[in-house]
Amino acid sequence: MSEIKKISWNKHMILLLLLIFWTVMVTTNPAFRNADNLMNILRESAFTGITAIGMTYCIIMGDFDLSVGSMLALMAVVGVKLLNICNMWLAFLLILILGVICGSLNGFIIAYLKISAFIVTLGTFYIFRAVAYIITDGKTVVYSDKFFMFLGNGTIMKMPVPFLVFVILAVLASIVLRHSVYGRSVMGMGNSVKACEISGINTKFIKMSVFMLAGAFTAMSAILSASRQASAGPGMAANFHFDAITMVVLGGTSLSGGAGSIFNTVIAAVFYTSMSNCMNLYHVDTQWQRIFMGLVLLCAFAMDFIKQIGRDVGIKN
Amino acid sequence: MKRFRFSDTAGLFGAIILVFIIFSCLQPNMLTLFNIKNIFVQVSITAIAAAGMTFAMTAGVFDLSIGSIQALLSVVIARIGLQFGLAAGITAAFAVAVFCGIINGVIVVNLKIQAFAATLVTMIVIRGIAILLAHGKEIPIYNMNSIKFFSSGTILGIPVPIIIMILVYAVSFIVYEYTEFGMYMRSVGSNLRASTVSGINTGKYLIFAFVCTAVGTVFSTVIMTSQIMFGKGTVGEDFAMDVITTVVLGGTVLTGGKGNLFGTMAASLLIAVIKNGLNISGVNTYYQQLVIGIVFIAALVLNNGKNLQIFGEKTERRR
Repeated sequence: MSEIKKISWNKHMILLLLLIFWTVMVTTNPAFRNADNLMNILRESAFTGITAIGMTYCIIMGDFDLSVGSMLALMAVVGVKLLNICNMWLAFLLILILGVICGSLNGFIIAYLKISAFIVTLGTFYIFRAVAYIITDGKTVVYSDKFFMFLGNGTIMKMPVPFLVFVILAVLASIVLRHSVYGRSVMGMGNSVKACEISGINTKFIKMSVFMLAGAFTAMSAILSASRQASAGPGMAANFHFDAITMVVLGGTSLSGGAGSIFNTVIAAVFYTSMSNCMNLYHVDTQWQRIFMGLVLLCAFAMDFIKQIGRDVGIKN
Repeated sequence: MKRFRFSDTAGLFGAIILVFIIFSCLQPNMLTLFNIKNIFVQVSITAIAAAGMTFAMTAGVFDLSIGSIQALLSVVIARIGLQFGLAAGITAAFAVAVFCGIINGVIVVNLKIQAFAATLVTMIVIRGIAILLAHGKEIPIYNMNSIKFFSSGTILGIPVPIIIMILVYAVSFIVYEYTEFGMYMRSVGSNLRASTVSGINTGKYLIFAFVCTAVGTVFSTVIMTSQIMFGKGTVGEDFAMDVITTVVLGGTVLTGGKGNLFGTMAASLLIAVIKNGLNISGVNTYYQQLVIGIVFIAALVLNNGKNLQIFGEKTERRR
């Protein structure tokens, strides 16, 4: 009995944290309580959160993608440039394809040339950003079509559009992860690549495809972020990879791979955004915010380590 | 035990000469004595930090935070240097660097967080502290003439940065190849478990690895600060990338255990020649970043190909 309780506590700790945080903030701060502010938190959580879904797949597989921020900047500027020349839906499709291409570039080097994901994406982190600067010549590009701006700023039935997109994507990703052969293979890869290989899974392709998926999710984030600001600059989303990784790790996805849930990532995204929103409300200096968020990520990493000890002890007993 | 072999680095020197000849044909300015001196001075900043990083990567860890450490040190040198004099500033910088290195090391060793994840965190935190310490502004040190010695001074006609670089490399080379410390560092990198079992205090050596990179960064920062003459919390954003690229290009194995200091130095020379050549040819800095990124990936792929042949499945197993 106690065993069951312990597991569920571990799994839903982030939800509990969010509830406690929101209860405290809602009761103490009237500015936080404001419906507009709450909707804003949900809206802001979606921009990074959507990428965090892709990142969850990567981390479940035991890898990282550091290049998402640069990828987002690249796709946002290319996207806005495309929107200025061609049909909107065609532009969206092209950006998605570009995302998949960028992701497959990462994935190909990682999976087929067998180089650790972290170091490869560190390289592409600089390459994508450089390409974004080259394309725009360092300038911000603008596109302010009404429907396009609606995607980032509008609401449907009082819910922010980006958040709705975020939830729909999260549900789809969660179903794929839990109930499809593909999702189970990704989980398996996180536990043991060798075992997957022996049982006949095309591990290289799965690895590459996860990075393609991360690219596709980043592309969607890019479209929404560009639409939120009605513009895109090559320097945008500088600490984006850091935010996305923090969300995933806060959501309890194990760093060593093999375990994790999309639902918790969504909750963690809302929690993370609430914290930064709340620090803005109290006028905390940006640098202190960054330091604080760094410490939060460190705590999340440490929690992962403590949980792992717990698991090991459990196995031994 | 295999000692250092020149043939490991011959390819790099070939590449340096080739690139240099190509650029010299395009731009005659490349070949002037002034420019060659300039290249060496530019090299020193990356190369010195890369020597420290070579130790870290030999021990099988990384330090992404050195760009932020560089920013913090530049602010420390500027602030303390202005108040208490240059010597105090540099001493304080050493103390801060050792402290940062120990923090990085303790997080990795005692909290058992992968090195790159841990330094990803400290990268953010240290940069935040640096910007806060500088109040988000530049701290000019135009009055501090004594620091200029480190960038534009000469001893026997040789620029000081080059002398510092040669000294650092000589010491590192001796430590790496001929001392117990260097040997244990390599042993920790090539097989952590075996090293622990055979009684090496692996945690201590991993912490030392981070201290080495941080201390290397002090020398780089002193030279850099004396060139730009101010301390600022936002310098060195791309520094970690430059340094890691250099070390990887130099032939140090990513999975640890086999470093190549001589290669690191050659690689930093190659990158500096490429950058300098692009600069002289008037190519936009954005393209330089792109070229460095591509060189980085190419170096990874080439290096990996070589090591796969040598170690077989090693890379796969150690991930």
